[in-house]
Amino acid sequence: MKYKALSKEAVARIEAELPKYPDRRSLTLPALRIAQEDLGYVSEPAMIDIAEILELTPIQVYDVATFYSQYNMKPVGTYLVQVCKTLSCALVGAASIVEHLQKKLGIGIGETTEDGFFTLKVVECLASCGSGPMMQINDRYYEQLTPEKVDQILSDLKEQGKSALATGPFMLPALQGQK
Amino acid sequence: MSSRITLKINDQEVTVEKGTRVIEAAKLAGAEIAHFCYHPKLKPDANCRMCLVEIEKMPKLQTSCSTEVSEGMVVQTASEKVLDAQKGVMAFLLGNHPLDCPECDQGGECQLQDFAHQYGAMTSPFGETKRTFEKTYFGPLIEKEMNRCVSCLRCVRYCDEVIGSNALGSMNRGSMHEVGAFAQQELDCEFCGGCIQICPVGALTSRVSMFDYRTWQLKKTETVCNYCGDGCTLTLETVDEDIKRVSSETGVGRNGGDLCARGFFGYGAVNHESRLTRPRIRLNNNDLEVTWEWAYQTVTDGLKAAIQTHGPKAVGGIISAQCTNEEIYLFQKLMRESVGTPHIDSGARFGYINAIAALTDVFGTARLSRYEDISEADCLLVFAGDMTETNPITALKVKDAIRNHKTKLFTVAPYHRKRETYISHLPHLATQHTEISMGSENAAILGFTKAILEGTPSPHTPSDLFEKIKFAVNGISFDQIESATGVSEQAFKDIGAGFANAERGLIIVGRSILRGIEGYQSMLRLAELSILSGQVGRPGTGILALAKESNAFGAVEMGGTPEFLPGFQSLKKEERGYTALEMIDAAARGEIKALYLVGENPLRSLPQKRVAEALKQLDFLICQDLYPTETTALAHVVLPGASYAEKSGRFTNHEGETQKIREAIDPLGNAKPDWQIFSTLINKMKTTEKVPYQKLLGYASVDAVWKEAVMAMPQGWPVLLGSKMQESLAAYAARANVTWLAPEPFVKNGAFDLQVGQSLFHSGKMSTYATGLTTLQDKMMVLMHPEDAERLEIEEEELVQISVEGSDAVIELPVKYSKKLSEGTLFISEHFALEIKKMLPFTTDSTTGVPYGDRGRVSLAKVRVST
Ligand code: SF4
Ligand code: SF4
Ligand code: SF4
Ligand code: FES
Ligand code: FES
Repeated sequence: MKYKALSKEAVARIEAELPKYPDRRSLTLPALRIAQEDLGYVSEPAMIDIAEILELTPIQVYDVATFYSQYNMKPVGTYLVQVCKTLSCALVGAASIVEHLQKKLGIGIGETTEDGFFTLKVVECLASCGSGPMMQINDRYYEQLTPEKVDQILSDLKEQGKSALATGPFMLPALQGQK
Repeated sequence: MSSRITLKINDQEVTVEKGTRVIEAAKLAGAEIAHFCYHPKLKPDANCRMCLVEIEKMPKLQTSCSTEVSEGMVVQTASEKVLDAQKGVMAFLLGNHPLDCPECDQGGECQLQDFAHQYGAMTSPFGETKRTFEKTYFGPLIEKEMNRCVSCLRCVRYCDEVIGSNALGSMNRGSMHEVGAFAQQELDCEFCGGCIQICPVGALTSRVSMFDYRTWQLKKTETVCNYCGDGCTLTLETVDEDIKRVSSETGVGRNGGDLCARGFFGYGAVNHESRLTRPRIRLNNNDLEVTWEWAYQTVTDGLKAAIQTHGPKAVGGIISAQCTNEEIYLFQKLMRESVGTPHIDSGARFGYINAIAALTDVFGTARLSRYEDISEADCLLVFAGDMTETNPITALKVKDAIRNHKTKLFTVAPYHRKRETYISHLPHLATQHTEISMGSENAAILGFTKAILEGTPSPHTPSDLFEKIKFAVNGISFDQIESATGVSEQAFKDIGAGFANAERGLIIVGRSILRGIEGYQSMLRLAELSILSGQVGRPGTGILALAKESNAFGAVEMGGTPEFLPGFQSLKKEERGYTALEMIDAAARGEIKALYLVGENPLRSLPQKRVAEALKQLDFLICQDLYPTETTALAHVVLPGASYAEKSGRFTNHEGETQKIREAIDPLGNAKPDWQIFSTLINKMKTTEKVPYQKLLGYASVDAVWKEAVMAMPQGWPVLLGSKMQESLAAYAARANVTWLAPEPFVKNGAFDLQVGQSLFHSGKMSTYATGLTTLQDKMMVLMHPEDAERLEIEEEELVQISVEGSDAVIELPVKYSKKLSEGTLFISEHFALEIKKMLPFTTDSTTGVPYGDRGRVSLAKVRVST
């Protein structure tokens, strides 16, 4: 069977996960993650491919994908900026950070800059409540944000592809070899 | 091992079965608990929080839909705390609800309306704007209005847990939660209508009857569907003489309230504008509309003339197996007694007779297994890979058995295990599926027989039968069987042992055998297989043969075939009349001069040229039908019959279960219930100068006809598999002629094997008059496996040319991909397939004369379109 969207590697990675799970359907979440790593977002053809591999119907995959904000249902920029808007961060000014980002990037929430670098999202608690306001860009955290720090981070990323202001990875295990 | 539990609900004691949920126990105690997500057909989901109750010793309110009863439990369903919580839930639901009841088709039977009256507050603290969903087109049959949705997920769960189509999903979350199809596309599914029926509010409604009625205007008539042999109870809901919609009640009928697309959306055929509504006769080449009196006289004169000039045997009659028991009984009486001819046949000839004749030959009755046996069986051996399409509700019984009763399912069919995206498929659900080469069903039966014979045959097999089977199988090797079926010796042995060693094993057979080549012999061999496995004569065992027509079983039982008088009284060879095709051939020879066809159109169902030639030779052709057909166009008299919705009577489904159908509306125009027509004609045929027909009493009602029919059955009714089985078996064992020929190897030569079969969305020709169903499928398409298509570079919807080996005729058809087909095979559904059927090779059964013309080797080529 040929797959429409997923790369051979992604299909192989999904299939390699199969033995770890009690049945195929349980693999929906990891399969979506692998698809997202493969394509940057979870496209409709990718969900059809996943359904084929897991012997589900496409809507069964779509159902799960739309429940979690972690899956991008549309293409995103090179850097996916997710700002926490939940209570602890909100109390210390998350809203002003979001506002600043919107102005700085010239986009609204859920949109991507024209140059394709940045996508802005607001999300629920990212479990870094003690050091808000905070945001996650791709796999890294940036905490105790101020507008100046945000400007620095954005220009670092745009120019060098990384920023020294990244905090963690104390909350996240090091993600080797992944974008 | 019933363990009963006693608990107290609102100070009233009730005793219920262990495992009962509090909401159900409360109902028994007379306390209806408000609910949305609970439904007796579904597993508890406890997502709506409407059904909260107070249970003593539990700190918080509990959802009564998911809490099981326990001994000594004390439950309050209407305490202040409970009412308060319910008010809260209602406030949330109503907060977002558009309250557009006046224009909602659910109005009047909506659970939200009902509970809002009981629990809703008059004011709402909800000050925010209501959420609104953009209206999206959800397809031609189902209307989706998500603003009304209460997110109970009953629809999604029904589609998953009961139907297995898995076409609906739950999307997003929070107040923007909604249900729908993949990526907001149009719905593609089995269209059983179940989600519409199970939705407690008006979020999913039928588009076929949108804004056509208010629920309280509807008159309800419970009756039985006429689209297949499953025998589903359904309710026709009417305003005056118009069917507005179909519904079904949870738990009611053999179907338990589930329906398929044909049952739910197929009612439009009844009031279709092309129905025949007036008797017509052809007089000096003029087509005249006449009164019934005139038509009756013409029929009687015509029949009498044929009898006088050529003798009664110059008359023949064929009746549809969608007619009621009473009608078939009267028709055979008209033919056998009033006319005096043995030539009477029915739609059961198109395959079902193979099952009935073989099973009664062996066991003395064809009533071997019922739906309850499917749930009781531990193992099902199914020779009907297309059961979802042909008999959707029996397929539900199988799905229920494997899901909820841990039943093992072995399927044997020329199909892949894979399913179409949104149509369930038994091979996909099977414990083990055996994919055989097309047309090798018989060889597969042989494989299982040999495997069980060499494995652990039942010690109860009559020894003479055992020896005969052994002798017949002797000398045929598994290699030969494998070269025919493509299935290994090991597979036959594994499945054979699995089936024979199961405590209770049941065989289900579908049209691939009943309408495959030599289906009668195959049925005998299957009967022997069930005896050899010891899987017959106990609950959860036996053979269930699937019927295509709603009354195929009844047609034979009522005497509607030349081989049986009413009650399966088998006639001796020399007493038997002609089968349908034999009548046609006799007409061609000039032997049959007058033919009476009721709901049968041989120009479509039998080889067309042969029939056309024969019909030309007739002196007198009577057609009684619902719609004009190729054959009615040639008739001397056309009588408009009544549809199942316009008459009363009985259908006997393929379990042998006889059920009443009831008149929901008056017959259209001047049409008449077929039984009344026969009743009058029987009297007319008796009329002499001295006894005018007005003096003769007709039947007062269908019940009077039924009584007489039952009286005509010397063995009584119904004949069940009982103590007589051993006697019958012993007699069969003594006279059986068990023959097995070494199967022909299956040779692939690059051509395709084409099967013509049934679509889930149609049944015969009648369904093609139902707009609900034609919106789903209205043309002939050829299904092929995507890999074959890719190899030949054929896109979906692209036109291809199909020609049959050994004939020059070519037809052009669009292609549809189908993952369930085996590579190298094609499928065309029969309802629009007249042209292709004309091209396929045709044979008949050597015993029963059942016509076979559904399969053939064809070649397929791209059509080169120049642009
Ligand atoms: S109509 Fe379609 S979506 Fe609704 S329950 Fe039936 S199969 Fe599922
Ligand atoms: S559409 Fe109806 S059945 Fe489905 S979740 Fe909404 S309210 Fe419940
Ligand atoms: S067509 Fe058959 S399965 Fe469908 S509702 Fe009618 S009787 Fe039931
Ligand atoms: S509230 Fe922002 S990280 Fe938890
Ligand atoms: S009916 Fe119990 S929670 Fe919905």
